[in-house]
Amino acid sequence: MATAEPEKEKRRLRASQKMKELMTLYYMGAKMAEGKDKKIAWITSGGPVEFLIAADIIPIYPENHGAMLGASKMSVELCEVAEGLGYSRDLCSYARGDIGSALTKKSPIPGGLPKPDFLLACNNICGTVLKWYEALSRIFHVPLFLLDTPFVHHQMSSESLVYVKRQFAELIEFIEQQTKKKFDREKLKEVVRYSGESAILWKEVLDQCAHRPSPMSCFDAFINMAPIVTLRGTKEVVNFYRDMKAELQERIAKGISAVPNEKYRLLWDNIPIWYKMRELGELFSSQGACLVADTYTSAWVFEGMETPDPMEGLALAYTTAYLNISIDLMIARVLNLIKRFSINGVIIHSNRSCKPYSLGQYDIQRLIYEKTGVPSLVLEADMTDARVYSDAQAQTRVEAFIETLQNRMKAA
Amino acid sequence: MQEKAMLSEFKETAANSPDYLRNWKARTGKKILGYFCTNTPEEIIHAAGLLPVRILSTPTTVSLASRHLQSYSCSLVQSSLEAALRGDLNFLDGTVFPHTCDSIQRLSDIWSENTRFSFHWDVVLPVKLHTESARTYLTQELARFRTGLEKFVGHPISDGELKNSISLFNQNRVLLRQLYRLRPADPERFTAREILSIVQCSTFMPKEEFNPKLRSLLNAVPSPKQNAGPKVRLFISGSVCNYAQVFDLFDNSGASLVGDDLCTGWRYFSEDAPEEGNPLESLTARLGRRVPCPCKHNPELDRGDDLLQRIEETRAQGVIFLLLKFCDPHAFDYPYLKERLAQKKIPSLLLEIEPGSMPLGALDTRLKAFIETLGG
Repeated sequence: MATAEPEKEKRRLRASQKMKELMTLYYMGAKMAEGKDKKIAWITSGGPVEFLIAADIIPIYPENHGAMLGASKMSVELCEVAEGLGYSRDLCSYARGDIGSALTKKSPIPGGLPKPDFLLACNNICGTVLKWYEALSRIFHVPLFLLDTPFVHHQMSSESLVYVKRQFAELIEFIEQQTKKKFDREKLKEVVRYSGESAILWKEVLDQCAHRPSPMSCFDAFINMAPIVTLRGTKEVVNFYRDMKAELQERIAKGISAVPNEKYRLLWDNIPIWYKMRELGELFSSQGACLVADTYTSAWVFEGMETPDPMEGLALAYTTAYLNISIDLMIARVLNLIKRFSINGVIIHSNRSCKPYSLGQYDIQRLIYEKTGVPSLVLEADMTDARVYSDAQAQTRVEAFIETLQNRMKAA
Repeated sequence: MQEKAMLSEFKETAANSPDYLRNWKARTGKKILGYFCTNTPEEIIHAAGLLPVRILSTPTTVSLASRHLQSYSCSLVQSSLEAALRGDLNFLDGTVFPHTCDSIQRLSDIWSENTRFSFHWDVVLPVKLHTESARTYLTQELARFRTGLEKFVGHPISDGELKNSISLFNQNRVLLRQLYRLRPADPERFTAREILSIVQCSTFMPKEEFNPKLRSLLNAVPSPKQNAGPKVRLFISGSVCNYAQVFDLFDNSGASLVGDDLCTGWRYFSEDAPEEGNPLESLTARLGRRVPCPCKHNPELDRGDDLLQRIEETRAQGVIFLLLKFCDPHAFDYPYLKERLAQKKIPSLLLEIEPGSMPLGALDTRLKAFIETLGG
């Protein structure tokens, strides 16, 4: 392969290989810890994992696993298991796939995810995680801690900041009960420092795509986001993104672009369509279009962690997560991405599985156009349930959209 | 007035709520605030001198709202936005969105972007209801809402006024619970449609007018017969359902309804607010005492336990899950509740409600087949 397609090989990121090794080690370590002294906690992707890492608890992310199920095309089969139990087909496909996997142990990870000792759900990404984790709590007979981050309409209230901080204290107490060990607050400071550092590095990695042509596309970012989601708060992640940033800078210096002859610079909105990553990547690439930024991976650029009080920093960072803010605030962030990355068009994935991400997209689409003149395309799909996706339709729509962009750019 | 005449008045008022509200407004010159969901602290709205009116689905064709909402949003969200964009809700002076589910939360943003009511408020309720920190936050959030309303109406809301409102709303809840207690004892006294109409009226009529009406109806009802009747007894579990046709199906099914836990039913009035102490803390206490709707988290009160207890109290033989299509929180609880029933050998049937494209004939067939298996 490598010799047959040197052009393709040149564009392959070294980081992706390292990421695979990092994730394999992580999952192997977690599997080996199952049933041993070390505790395992399942946590939502936007949850404050720093507390777990500081307490030497292994965090496991069902959402990352959901994406793996999607990418390995196992989702539909496992969703059907959950549907057989009465979970509606209209519910989040991560949750359905994960519940199906928890019950059947089918997974790309042999034997499935390691069993949790307890669960930590943070509702800064959706209300669905509450219901999903309540179901997991019943399946595994383990306790659930809900970190409740009040939704931010226009601006965060001082009362909600206090509420979240008080819950951190309750979480520490909960963790102490689970581990039967005193929680190490000094260790937490160190972990938060790593987390903040990796968030900054992650931002710098993504920022490399502001270069024209872009050294990577969001499809690379979707794959290489796994460490910032699952292992932030550790030294390895800091090192990983430091190397990845250097690699991208090197590509820029050598003139290696993600897409040959980059003509159009696009922004992706919503969770990836995990089971069509390769096809979509090739489709856009064949049109000379590079997805140089997205609203999804940039959600892990947590802001505010650098506050002197780590509790305050964590409360701010987690409560103002992208899916926990009102549409006016989301638009401000999108406009910022459009400007920073010189975006010509937006691809909006209307994701049946994710209402907090998808409802409001039509208004966001209109407002982007009104404020910047940048057009967008809505793709109706689902992040892992391939039954609602049509290749032919997606291809026709993407090609037509690129043609529109071409005409617009010619006219301008 | 005779019982039947009173019932048909409720039915007529319920079917023409917009006319009723326009007339009320013209007559009193007062303002009306629309709100979503039974978690809204209506008492504060009332104490501000405003009429709180629940926004429910209307069986309308969605066209304007489809420019703002995907087809996978629930009918409550779609049809209420449609009504607002069409001007059907122009008797409202503002809207209140409590924090419940992801869809209502996003609807609030879309609503404020695309409609022009003079007042818009998000009551960002906590999702947890069982911890001291959540209760403190909730009381603070209610205080923030009170201040927002005070600014809107231009005068302060005193603790005394709040307490009076709490007492009035408690009376309303007591009366509605009395009505519901008649159902298991005398299941054929009221039709399902009549119960729906009464509860619906309670969601928009001023309590000052509604309470005496319901009280006289309850006084006019003869004491229940000794024999409760031969019909199969059904309990309804679910979310929001205010579609008269669905309740007509039940009335023509040969079974009788002995109770429900619907948001447009029991969940609205199941718990009172304490009448002593700080009034905002009392409203907080009411939400904490209530068996949580699936959008809220309270591990101390389990929905499955509650459902089994209500079935025992009402001596129901089977359960109909009446779920709104695309209502995620309720759909997530369904497998658990169904399983709890199965463990007790209580049969259940899921009917998914999607107004606009509702196959009433198919629902009717499934309902009747289910009733037949129960010996009806």
